[in-house]
Amino acid sequence: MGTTSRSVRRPAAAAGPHRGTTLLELLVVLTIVAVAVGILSRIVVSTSRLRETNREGAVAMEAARTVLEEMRAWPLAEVYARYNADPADDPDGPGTAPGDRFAVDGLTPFDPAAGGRAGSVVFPAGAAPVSSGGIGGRSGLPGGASGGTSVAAPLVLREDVSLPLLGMPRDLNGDNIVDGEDHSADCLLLPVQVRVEWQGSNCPRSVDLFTMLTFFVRTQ
Amino acid sequence: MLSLIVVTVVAALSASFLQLSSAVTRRQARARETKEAFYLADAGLAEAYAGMVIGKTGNVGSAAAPVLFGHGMFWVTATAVSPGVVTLESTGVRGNARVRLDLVLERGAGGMAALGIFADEALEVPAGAQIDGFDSSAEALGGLGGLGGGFLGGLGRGGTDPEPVPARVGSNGDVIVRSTPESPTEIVGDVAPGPSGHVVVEGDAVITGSTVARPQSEELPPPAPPVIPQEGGLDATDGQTVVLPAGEWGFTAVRLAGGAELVIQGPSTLLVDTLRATEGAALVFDTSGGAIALYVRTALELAAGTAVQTTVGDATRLAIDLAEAAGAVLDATGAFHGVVYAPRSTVSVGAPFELFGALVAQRIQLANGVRLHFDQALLTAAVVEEVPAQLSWRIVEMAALVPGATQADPFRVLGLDRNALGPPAAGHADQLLEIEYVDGALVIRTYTGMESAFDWTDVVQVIEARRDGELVLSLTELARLLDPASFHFLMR
Amino acid sequence: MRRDRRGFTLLELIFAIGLLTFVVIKLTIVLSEAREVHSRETAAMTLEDRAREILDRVSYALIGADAGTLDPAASFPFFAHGLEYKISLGIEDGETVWSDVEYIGLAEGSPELRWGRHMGEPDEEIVVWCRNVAELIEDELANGADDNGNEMADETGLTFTMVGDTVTILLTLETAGDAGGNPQCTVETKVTCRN
Repeated sequence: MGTTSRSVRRPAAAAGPHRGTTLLELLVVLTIVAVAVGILSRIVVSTSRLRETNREGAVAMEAARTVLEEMRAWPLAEVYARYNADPADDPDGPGTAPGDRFAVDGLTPFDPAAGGRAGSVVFPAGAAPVSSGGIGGRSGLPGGASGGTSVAAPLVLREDVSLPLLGMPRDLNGDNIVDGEDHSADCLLLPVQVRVEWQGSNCPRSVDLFTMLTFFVRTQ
Repeated sequence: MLSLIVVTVVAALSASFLQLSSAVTRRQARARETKEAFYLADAGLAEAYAGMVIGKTGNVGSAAAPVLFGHGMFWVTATAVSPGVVTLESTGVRGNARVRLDLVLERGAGGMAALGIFADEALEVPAGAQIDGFDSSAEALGGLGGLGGGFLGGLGRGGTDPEPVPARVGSNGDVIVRSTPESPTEIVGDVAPGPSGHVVVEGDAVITGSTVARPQSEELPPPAPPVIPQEGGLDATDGQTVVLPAGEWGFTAVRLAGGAELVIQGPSTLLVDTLRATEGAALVFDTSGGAIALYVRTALELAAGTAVQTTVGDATRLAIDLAEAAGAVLDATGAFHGVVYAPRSTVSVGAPFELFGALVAQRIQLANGVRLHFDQALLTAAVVEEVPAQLSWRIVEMAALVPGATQADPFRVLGLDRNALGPPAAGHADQLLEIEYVDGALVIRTYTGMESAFDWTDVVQVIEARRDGELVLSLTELARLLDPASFHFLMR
Repeated sequence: MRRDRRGFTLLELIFAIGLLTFVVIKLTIVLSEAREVHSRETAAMTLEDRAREILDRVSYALIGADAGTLDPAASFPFFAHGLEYKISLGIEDGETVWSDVEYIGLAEGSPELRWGRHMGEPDEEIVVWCRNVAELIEDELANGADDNGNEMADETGLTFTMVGDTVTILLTLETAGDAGGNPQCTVETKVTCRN
């Protein structure tokens, strides 16, 4: 009868080089690594998207600002004619003015009917007054309610249009009266909204700039 | 161990990515809000300025009650920094961004021509004088009377028999009005002596308007001479017609012999030492192309027997300014449509010289039977003179509403109830309004009281309106008058 | 006596080492690429953000300028890489106080965008706003031709051009990189001088 030795399951810490890594442990490691790399990839992709989102927002805002600054350079009486949807009233000749829509590099408009132009200029405009005589033209109706006319009749600057974000309705030509007349050429104050609306990575997005224009008399 | 290392590396990269992209996103969001707030503040300046053009104070909303516009708000504070100079400070707020802009404006003195027939020293109106008023602007628009425009003819006002337009006669001292049965004197309008002066009526002189003394003396600042080189004299001999085309002209002495004619075409500015026209000469001011401004350093003499003519019956187009101690003798025959301003010298007006416009001088000597007509268009021109002009614009501040915050609700931060705030048009400071207007039933009405209590929706046409006592005009009137090609008062 | 003969065969060992090596190499590649992407994206994001920040700073400085003091008055299609101007400092005794002449632009032959005052004088003040402005606007070559289709030729990395009181500002920044393509970012805006 001699000494009996039993094989003792050594603790893993005491495993020698010949202990090795089991396939299961390897698989677990690979799984953890795969998940980690997957998360990293998603973060990279999300961050790229975020960068793209930021870029789009900045580009949109800069485009809106550029349009507003260009608008400021014109005499007030010409601003509406240059930046409305009617090319016939462009001061330098039909079709020569920028109009009410503008393209923004790299941004696809949300509205397919926008013709590739994500930006728009919004004025307090409505249908031309139905009658120019009578009592100060107050019989005119805003918003194209003139009835019986052909489509796309040119809109005019009107004081009685309801656009709360632009502070409308209000007096625009300084006579303190809110009427339905055409004030396209005699406004003292012109509220304007420049909007850029585009199809973002995940959803439609927009930026707006609101301001008012007036004529500032300068000292000589 | 390996997975631990990998996870650690991945976590570090991810955290770094997220931190950077969050920082960039925040900064760009702030930049966008700042731009929006900038244009809101710009809108505030436009709102306030446009209000001041039509006689409002320039205050719009306040920090405690701003006005809503776009997706944000603004308010404007007007401060008088010195006589005639006003600063508008506009604050725009959007999200956590606040921008303050500053616009400094200068208001003109109102135009001395609005004084009418005015002498710094006591004014004597001789027997036989006829002084009244008219409105060259209304006549140019078809004679429908005053500032009200188109309605008044159909409402029984204006039409073929317009109401008489009052003259303005005044002085910083007494006004003595003489009349005799052979040469009755009539003044259709107001006569306003100085604060301690009186109106003395001798004989049966008729004064149709007020004779209340003015509350304070009028200061008559000296006119500023134009800077034009003076290139010798100009002599027009008998039979010679000299035409000065539009431009700037400087002479030492201008002499018109009998039979000579001098035609000055506007727009022009002339600087002369003396201008003398002898009997038989003719002087024509052709203002059809634009305004004429004549500055005389020493003497202006239109002797008896000379002829004077202005081609356009609009007194706002012709101004004659005289330097200190430069006298003027106006004995020419003809209709003179313009303004003579001689705050430090004496002007003598003979009976054949019929003035349509205004005459303001230190001393005025009027001959018996003189005819003077105050042009009320000069009043509206004076309003234009008061249209504020921009001196400077600047960015005062672009800051976060709540420093260090990523975002903020400005209504909560400023303690405002959004539902209690109104639009910009309703945010102007309240003022005393005096108005004569046509209402929806085509009835002429008047109102005097605070503007906040006045219902503008019932107004169809404004005949005349004053805010805090100052005449105000619609832009239609102003736009016509602000055409620099025809109105030299804009030159400051 | 029994001996424990559990252990790895040589084949198993070779296989395991090989597999491990493969995994580690793959992992290293992936992590390396991830770091590269991270670096690239970070650089691009930072560059673009920086470009917009500088553009905003320049535009807000010029928007308050007195248009009559802009020098040179480079009317389109002419352009300048720097502008002198004056701004309002406020009111004193009822009169506007205008600043001394200020300058925004590139230092000659340098990628630095500077703001300065009293340029060329003993009391010159200079603040460097940016150190990596490209030599030429993106897509533009130094060939005397209009390569990018904006009707200007050989525009510098910072370009000012004017139509009336409206100034167009173009800016291209680039990262310092190895030869073979420095990432660039170009931004553009317009401002109308308010004075």
